[in-house]
Amino acid sequence: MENNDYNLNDEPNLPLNHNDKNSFGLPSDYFSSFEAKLREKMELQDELEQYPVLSSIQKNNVFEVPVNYFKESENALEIKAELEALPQLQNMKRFVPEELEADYIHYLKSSVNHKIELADELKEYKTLYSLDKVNSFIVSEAYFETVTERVKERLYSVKESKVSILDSVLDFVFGKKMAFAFGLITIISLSVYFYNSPEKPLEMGDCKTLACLERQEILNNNKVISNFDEDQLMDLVDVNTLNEQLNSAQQKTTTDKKINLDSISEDDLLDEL
Amino acid sequence: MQHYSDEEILALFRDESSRNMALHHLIQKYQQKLYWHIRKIVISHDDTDDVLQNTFIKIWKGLAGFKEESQLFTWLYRIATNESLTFLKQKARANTTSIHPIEYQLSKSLESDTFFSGDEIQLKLQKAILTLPEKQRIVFNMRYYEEMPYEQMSEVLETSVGALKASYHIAAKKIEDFLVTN
Repeated sequence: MENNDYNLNDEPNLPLNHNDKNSFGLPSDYFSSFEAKLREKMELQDELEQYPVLSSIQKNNVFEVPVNYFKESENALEIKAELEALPQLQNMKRFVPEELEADYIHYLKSSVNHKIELADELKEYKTLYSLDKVNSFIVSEAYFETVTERVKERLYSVKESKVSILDSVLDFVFGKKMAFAFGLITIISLSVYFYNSPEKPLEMGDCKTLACLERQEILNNNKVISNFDEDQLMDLVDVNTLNEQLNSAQQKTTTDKKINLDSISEDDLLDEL
Repeated sequence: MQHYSDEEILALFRDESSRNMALHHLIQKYQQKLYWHIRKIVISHDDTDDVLQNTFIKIWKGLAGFKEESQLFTWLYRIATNESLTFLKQKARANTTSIHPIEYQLSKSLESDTFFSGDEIQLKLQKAILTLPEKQRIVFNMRYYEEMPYEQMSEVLETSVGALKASYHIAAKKIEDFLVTN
């Protein structure tokens, strides 16, 4: 191209006069500012070429905005602009609905039915139904803000006190002083026990003879059998057992005597004579 | 305020490192519900505070054994209800000087309670509620004030839906009669 001052209107494929039946429109200053913009861009590219790594990275916008941000901000600006014309309305606190829970719509029907059911129930009781359902109980200021801390405090103090009691008990039980005292007490107790150990009292079924009975009575009742009268003695004695014992003793004596006489030889008898 | 779901709280509890956070979120989520439930039973704010703390301590100690067969919410309510009833029994036992039942004492204390803001008719309603037997009182409060479905109440109080409905209607009838005659 000979002419350095390039004019887009000289382009053969475009109509010479862009106002002539061209249905495409352009910003009014597009061509006047085009060159400046192009130069600026080339300048930027030249600048970047000095930094090959940087220029190799694709220029993307990695930042994101919340969904519908621009739409909402536009809406907010619109409302703000509207309200500026109405200062009284602007000062009033506006109701901003909270975001609905995901399953709100799903439970809405059952919730409405539940409310109707409750109201129907109460209708039977006219006075009760006519009353406002208000909570007349109140709590101290900022009460709920402190509950968590107080519960935690109590929970941990319970744990700590438990630990400290256990520690002190263990220290006390396994301490040197306690071990020494325990040893001493054990020795003294054992000594006293063995020194004073009473003979085991006999039980009624243990012995069947009169001698045993006397001993038993002395040990168990601290009484002397000689002080008993005849009836008391008879009560204590098992008559059947006594008879059996006496019979067996008599038989034994007779047999022993018999054996003795048989075993003596004739010579011995003569010697004796 | 957005609260953690019960599943999230339990998941936090299961992990030793986030257990403290679970306690925080559990209290944050349920403190108000449980407070008002207990308050309607024990009436006084100070007593409620005491029972609420005991309830959370009990919940915390028993949470490891919570089998997730029922909802966490109903389990918490059950503990709160039992704690409140135990508290009232202890209070009745401790107060040997009065010949009146504990409900009468609660009703009297309501008149001078600085944490009660109700007008005359609300006071009368509370007094009427306090004339009910314990179980009926709890059923009435849960239905009338907390607007709890019978199915949930059944899980909390371990009573059949039919029995609860009957209990509520008997209670409502008694209250109605009290309000009309007084």
